[in-house]
Amino acid sequence: MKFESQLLKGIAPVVVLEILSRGPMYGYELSEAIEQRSSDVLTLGKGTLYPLLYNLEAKQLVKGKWETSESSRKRRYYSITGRGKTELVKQKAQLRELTAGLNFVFSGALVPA
Amino acid sequence: MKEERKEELLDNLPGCAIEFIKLVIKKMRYRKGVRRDVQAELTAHFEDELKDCATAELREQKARQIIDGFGDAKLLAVLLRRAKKRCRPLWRTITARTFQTIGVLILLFVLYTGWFLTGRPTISVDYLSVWNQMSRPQIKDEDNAWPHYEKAIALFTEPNQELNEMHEFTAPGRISLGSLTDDQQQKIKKWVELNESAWQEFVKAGSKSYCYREYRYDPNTKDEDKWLLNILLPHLSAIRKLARAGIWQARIQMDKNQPKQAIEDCLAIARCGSHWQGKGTLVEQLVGIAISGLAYGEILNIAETKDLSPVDLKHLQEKLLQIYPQGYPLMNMEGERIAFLDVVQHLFTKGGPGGGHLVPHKLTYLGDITGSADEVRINMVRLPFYTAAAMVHAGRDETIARGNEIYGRQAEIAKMSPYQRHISDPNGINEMFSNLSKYRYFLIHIMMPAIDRASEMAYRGRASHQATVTVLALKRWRLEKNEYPKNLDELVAAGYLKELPADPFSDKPLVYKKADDDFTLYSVGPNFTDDGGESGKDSNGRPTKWRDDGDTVFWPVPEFKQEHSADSE
Repeated sequence: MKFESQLLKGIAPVVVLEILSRGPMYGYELSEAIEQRSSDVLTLGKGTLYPLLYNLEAKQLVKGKWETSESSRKRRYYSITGRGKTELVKQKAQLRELTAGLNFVFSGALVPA
Repeated sequence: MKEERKEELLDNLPGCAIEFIKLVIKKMRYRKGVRRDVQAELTAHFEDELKDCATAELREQKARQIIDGFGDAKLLAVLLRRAKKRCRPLWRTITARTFQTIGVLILLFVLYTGWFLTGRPTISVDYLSVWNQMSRPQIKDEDNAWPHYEKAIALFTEPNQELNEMHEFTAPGRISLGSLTDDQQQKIKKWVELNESAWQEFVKAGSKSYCYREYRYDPNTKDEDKWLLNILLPHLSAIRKLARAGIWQARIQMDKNQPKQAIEDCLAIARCGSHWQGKGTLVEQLVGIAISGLAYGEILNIAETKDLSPVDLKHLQEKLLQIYPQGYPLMNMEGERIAFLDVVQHLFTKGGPGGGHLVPHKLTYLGDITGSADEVRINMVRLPFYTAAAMVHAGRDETIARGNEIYGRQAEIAKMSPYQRHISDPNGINEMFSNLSKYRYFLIHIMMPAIDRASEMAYRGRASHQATVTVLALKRWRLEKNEYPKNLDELVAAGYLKELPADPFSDKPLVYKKADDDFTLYSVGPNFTDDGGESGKDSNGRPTKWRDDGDTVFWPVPEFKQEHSADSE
């Protein structure tokens, strides 16, 4: 299902932080993980991925670091920072409240079948 | 790192992918190190996505899909650049902004300088006509002395080198003809004889009520050089020399024991001085005062050495009073103000911020007027400094306003005697100048004449005129009443004087002290202190007028070096 880009815009950062909270990943790996863990519901466009990562890095919510993998390929791994974890908790709380509120509006219709 | 980059580029990525990555990196337009990192990251992403493609064809297809997923390369580059800029540390942001600001300021400055340098003045007012109109009198042309002065100048023979090397000739002071050697007398007489025709025209000019000479540019003057400052006044030098010739003429008459003729010669010189005192330029007015001063000095010499009859004294006194029927003229600054406005219109643009700005290369013209051709060349080298100075200088409107303010103040000060200035405004115009920035108003500092000294000259001239008239009245009184009066009030009361002579340095009458069968008449002088008639002295110890180390003594006349060759007394 294709979602309105504006709808996804606001939650992309919290989704990335959530995925990274489970372990460092490089860009391609991250985009694959988002698709898999959202059961292909959410996709992060490639044109959005790297600008988003760099923005999160500028806000010091994630940290990037070049590492050489076992196959001698250099990849830039991103990991969540302490500030990022705090921000993630805050964003998740807000999303829960939002979801609860929307549920009330739609009388529980937001709960997946 | 170069090798690694090479490796990344050659890492079996399809051509379209390499092109895409290169385009994105190129459009990022950011620091090299950052672009290298982003390139590596994008390359790694393509590699990861393409690793499962078995054939080149599949890789190519997949690469195109990935490229579609990334979207427009330029937009991606912009987004990546923005995001990376946010990553930079604060000090780098501040440095970058600072350099950007400096760059913008430099660009604005370059544009401003370009606009500044291309400005051109607009000459809208014919100030030459204003000058001429200002000094043109409402009189019949036949009353104009100038045509006679012009003829006199044309007929004038310059003194030769021998005479110019003769100290007694060039600085006659208080020297009579009889005190010179025969050879010196012959040379002077010969020169005076050569100038007899010129002198006669000079005397005719003196009989006229006014002198009007039209100011004009030299016929060879180019349009861009038509500034009032460029108007030369070569006639002044000739007029001064003619006046000096007149002094020698008078001394020759004295030598022949013809004091009446000598007096008439002196009166012609005094009238000539008065003709130039009412002129538009300060220099003409100062020359007029100086010429008149020569006449008064010589008249006092004659009064001191010759016993003039009461009739002669009265005649002389009346003639001197007739020279200034409307009172002795004070300094007129209006002509100088007009010249200043003319300079402004030649140096400033018209319109725009501040009413206009100073045009830098025009300042080299100013140097041209005041300097030699070599100085003009040097001045062109200084153009960058002129540009900087012009940028700092006040705008046209403000310059004119300040200039008019100062000239207005100068006109007020010109009406004040030195004593009045001393007690009410001791710093005079100097304080106005010291409050005016030398950088923002350097043009005003250059252009403004030293009005304090100039206006004092007029008061000194007036004192000399009144002192001469008073001495003649006192001599007349003495002859008619056998002794000098107790005070000057008696002269006024008895009609020998119309008014008491004013001392410009005390605002009281000149000091008169009777002593036996003589008297002393003096001004307290520029030190504003009554030194009891003790004259100020020059570096050689000679009594000199208007020095600030003593009084200015009009009578007795300081030692007049003479040997009477024909003394009938």
